[in-house]
Amino acid sequence: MAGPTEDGIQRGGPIARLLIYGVLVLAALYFLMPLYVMLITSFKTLPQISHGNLFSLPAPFSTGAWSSAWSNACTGSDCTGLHRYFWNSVAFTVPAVAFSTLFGAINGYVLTKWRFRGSELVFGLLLGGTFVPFQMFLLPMARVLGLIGLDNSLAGLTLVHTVYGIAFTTLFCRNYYVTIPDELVKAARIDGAGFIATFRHVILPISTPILMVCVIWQFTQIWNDFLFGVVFTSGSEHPITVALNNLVNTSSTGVKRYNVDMAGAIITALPTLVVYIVAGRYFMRGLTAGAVKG
Amino acid sequence: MRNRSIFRKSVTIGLSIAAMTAGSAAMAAQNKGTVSVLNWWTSGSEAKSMNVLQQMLANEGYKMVNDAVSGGGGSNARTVLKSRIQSNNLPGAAQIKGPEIQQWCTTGLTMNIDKVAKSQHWSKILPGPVAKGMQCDGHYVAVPFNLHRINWLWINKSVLKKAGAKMPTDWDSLVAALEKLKKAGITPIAGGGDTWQVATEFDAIAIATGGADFYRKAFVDLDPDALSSDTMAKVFKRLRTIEQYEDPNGQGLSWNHDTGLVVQGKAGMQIMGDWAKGEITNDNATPGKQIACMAFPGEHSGFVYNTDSFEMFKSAHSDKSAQYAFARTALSPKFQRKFNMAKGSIPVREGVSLKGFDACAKQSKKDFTAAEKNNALVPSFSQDMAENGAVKGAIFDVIAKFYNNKNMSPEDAAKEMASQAKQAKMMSQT
Amino acid sequence: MAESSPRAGKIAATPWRRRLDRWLPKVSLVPSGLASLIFVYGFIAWTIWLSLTNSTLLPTNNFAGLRQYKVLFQLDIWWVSVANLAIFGILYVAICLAIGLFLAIMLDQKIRAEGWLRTIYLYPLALSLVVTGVVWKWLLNPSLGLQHFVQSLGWTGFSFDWLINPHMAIYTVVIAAVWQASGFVTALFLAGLRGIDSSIIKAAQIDGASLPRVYLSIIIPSLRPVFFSAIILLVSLAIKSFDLVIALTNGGPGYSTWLPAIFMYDFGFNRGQIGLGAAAATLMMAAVALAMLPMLIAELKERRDGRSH
Repeated sequence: MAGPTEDGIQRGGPIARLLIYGVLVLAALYFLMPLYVMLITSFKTLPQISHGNLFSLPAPFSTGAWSSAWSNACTGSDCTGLHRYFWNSVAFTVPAVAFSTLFGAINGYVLTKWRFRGSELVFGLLLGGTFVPFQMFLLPMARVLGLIGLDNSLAGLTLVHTVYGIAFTTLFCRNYYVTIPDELVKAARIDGAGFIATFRHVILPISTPILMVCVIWQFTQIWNDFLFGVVFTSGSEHPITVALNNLVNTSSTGVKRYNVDMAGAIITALPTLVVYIVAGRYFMRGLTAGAVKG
Repeated sequence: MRNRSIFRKSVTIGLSIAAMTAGSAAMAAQNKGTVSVLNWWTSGSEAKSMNVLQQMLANEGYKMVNDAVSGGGGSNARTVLKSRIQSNNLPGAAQIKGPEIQQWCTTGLTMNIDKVAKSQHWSKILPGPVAKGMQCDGHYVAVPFNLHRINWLWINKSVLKKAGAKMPTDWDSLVAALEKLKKAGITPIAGGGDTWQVATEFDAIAIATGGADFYRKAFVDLDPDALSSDTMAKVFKRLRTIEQYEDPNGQGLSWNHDTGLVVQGKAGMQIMGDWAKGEITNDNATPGKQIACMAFPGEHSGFVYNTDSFEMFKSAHSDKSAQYAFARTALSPKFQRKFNMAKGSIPVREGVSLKGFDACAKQSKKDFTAAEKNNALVPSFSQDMAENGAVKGAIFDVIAKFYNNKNMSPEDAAKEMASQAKQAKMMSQT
Repeated sequence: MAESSPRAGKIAATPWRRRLDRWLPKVSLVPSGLASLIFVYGFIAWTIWLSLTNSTLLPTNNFAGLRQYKVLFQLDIWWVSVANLAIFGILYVAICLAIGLFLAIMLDQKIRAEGWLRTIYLYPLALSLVVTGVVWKWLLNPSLGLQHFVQSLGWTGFSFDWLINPHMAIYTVVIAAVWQASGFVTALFLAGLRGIDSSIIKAAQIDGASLPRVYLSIIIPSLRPVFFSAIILLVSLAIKSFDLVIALTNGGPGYSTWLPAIFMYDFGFNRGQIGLGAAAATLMMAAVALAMLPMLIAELKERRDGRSH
């Protein structure tokens, strides 16, 4: 029957455990299926793709699509593959993720632990930024960026992503901090800690899981963004997603190379996957337990 | 320290002056001007052709900045153009086609290129309707690149033979051939994917069924009588027939996939523009040999054309001289040969040898000349050549609705097309 | 303010610092508030204004009253887009929440390979929809994907052709969209679960509550803020859904899987009817605001009333 584990919470018996693992593995298979198709397709040759079975293994096994996607596929302004656009994406994703996460954490902290008259309204207003149809905002945004001289630049793109990311990071952080007992902050203040010190020494140390959520979300959204990237940069400054789009979306009169498309998509996603693996490690329980009980 | 840097600077200046005076032509030519070109050709033969154009301009000393964005039949490039205008950063040339060229003139942002047109005698070397399409109020603002034909029928000859069917010559024999293919267990027609593919079929049926005069009245003049006429209902009816010979599972698959089915003998025919040749060649077949090309059959013959073109804008970041050079080079016989051979189209201007082009391209040229003479040359509505985006969209919506709703009668579809097109026209004029 | 921070917990608060603490929190909200005022509410106002003009290719300022709305209401394709958003939005949010919560609870049972499983659940979010949409198109296409595969295994009667059925195609969009986002919702719930003080759970178990009981009556209710975040996030994703539909169905068959985002983009930019696109955007924002407002107010009120002091 159920036995206590090291944290003292009663868990299910071996049959229940087996069932849980079964369900989790089944779910994993569902999530992995499209990746499987992408991977095997990327190693096939074009005739194999158009004549063969979707699920069959590549024969012969060809890595040509990968080297093509990386180094010689045409992406519009040149035919040198995706590699040169990689750093463009890094250049605006990293600062935009950092800024928006930082602002989100501060906002969340103020909105839960330093409430003032109207702070709920401010939160509500900030949330409006999550329901914005970006498509209609391209033109006014282009005008504003033109006015402040940031159009067609990675700096402009960083600004755009930071601005629209804050709504999400604020939401995440606020709703996490709201579950943290106010007593924790009060105790720090009685000890004489001010606004900034409390944030640094009390709030930040217990924020790891939610900051990871922010980073995962923001990194994914910004790295994978296409619409802003295509409109607010040009040519050699394009983010990698725009290059990928240019590689994948042949015009109606062009020929499709699905194997290169698949390889390109996986290459484009690699940094995000790395972030998931690295950030995911910080989800482990125990980080919060001690602090909350404090 | 300071002295040294001044010294270094003067050495650099001295060296560059020396280089310029010693000047290889290429060196000196590098400062002649820049043109930025917004387009949606980012892959395959099209991207390579743009690189060829870039190189040809570089040889003359002009810098072409290729700003390419693909996706959605140019819709992303359109979005980028509009955003660039908002931030006051216009391209020197942008890929724009059909009546949208004239629509852009009303913004006052376009640039006159009469100078190039005059020196290259565009009014003589370009077909009349194409030349007219490049002008606003009698002045050239855009340069054409190519001539595609839309109303082609691609047939796998051996499959047709195996099924015991004959090459169609008119509508009835086409239906007979389709029936034979069906009985032989082969998908008669590969098609029915996205709306533009269905609209391409509609395009071909319309000219074959109603002829050039009808086509022009309906799709160019938007004459409500022609749009809601019995002829239009007949076109819809024939589209329904075609639809019934298509594999319902083909819905949503790309035209490339369809062409592949025809080449592999899994399907008998496809209705598609001549860019299908690229896919046929890719699959190790020869257009005109294993895969026959013929004008889509019906009571009338005609040539539904599609021309890619670039409109010039007054741009702070481009030089007029380079914009002129871009237009001139695009219509040079050398580029016209190279570009059109790669793209599957035919040269848009006179005086370019077709030596080395495939049989279908030669057929296309022959039919084009005949159609021009007989006034049977019409701009393709399915490829944005006949109407602006609003009206084209409205017509597409009706075709999509009819195609996917078996209960909609051809007569109702024709009527709805007339009313929707009228409303879209009204909305897009003011 | 720099010198006040590091020595936290040592010196007693001075009146000067108390004053600093009064305005510092508000000041730190200013950048975000200002950005939101310009880039969200300013642009919303601009969009509403455009919807009242006769803008076509480019934005103009010619007032045209409610003409764009009148035309919009007559367009079949608009109503199809709206209905699709309702179907898609509700199913997408509900299914993602269910899967996310379920998997998060499962993952929270001291699972050995948690890190791997969590990454596997998350990875779909990393991949560009431009391409994964194509893969789903293949998987869901009757003659290429699952139907073909299952039939080739011997079950010849198996049929799964939603993708090509105008009445069912929108559900295939739900399938692919859920696949993409449910892993992130799982992570969100997991972070929430990790924030719950385990001593509460222990206490309840000592009192004799069973594990399912503990989840139902203690843990899930305390995840309320996570539900709130997740719903807002998913609704936000739903109204922005664009790339996936373009790659999966391209709006088809016909225009049976159009969504308002596609409507805005296509009419606004491709068809040169910016006024009509702006009208569509205005209506959609209004509808979403109306749908979300009750939840928002309830949530904010709950916070205020629920405060223990």
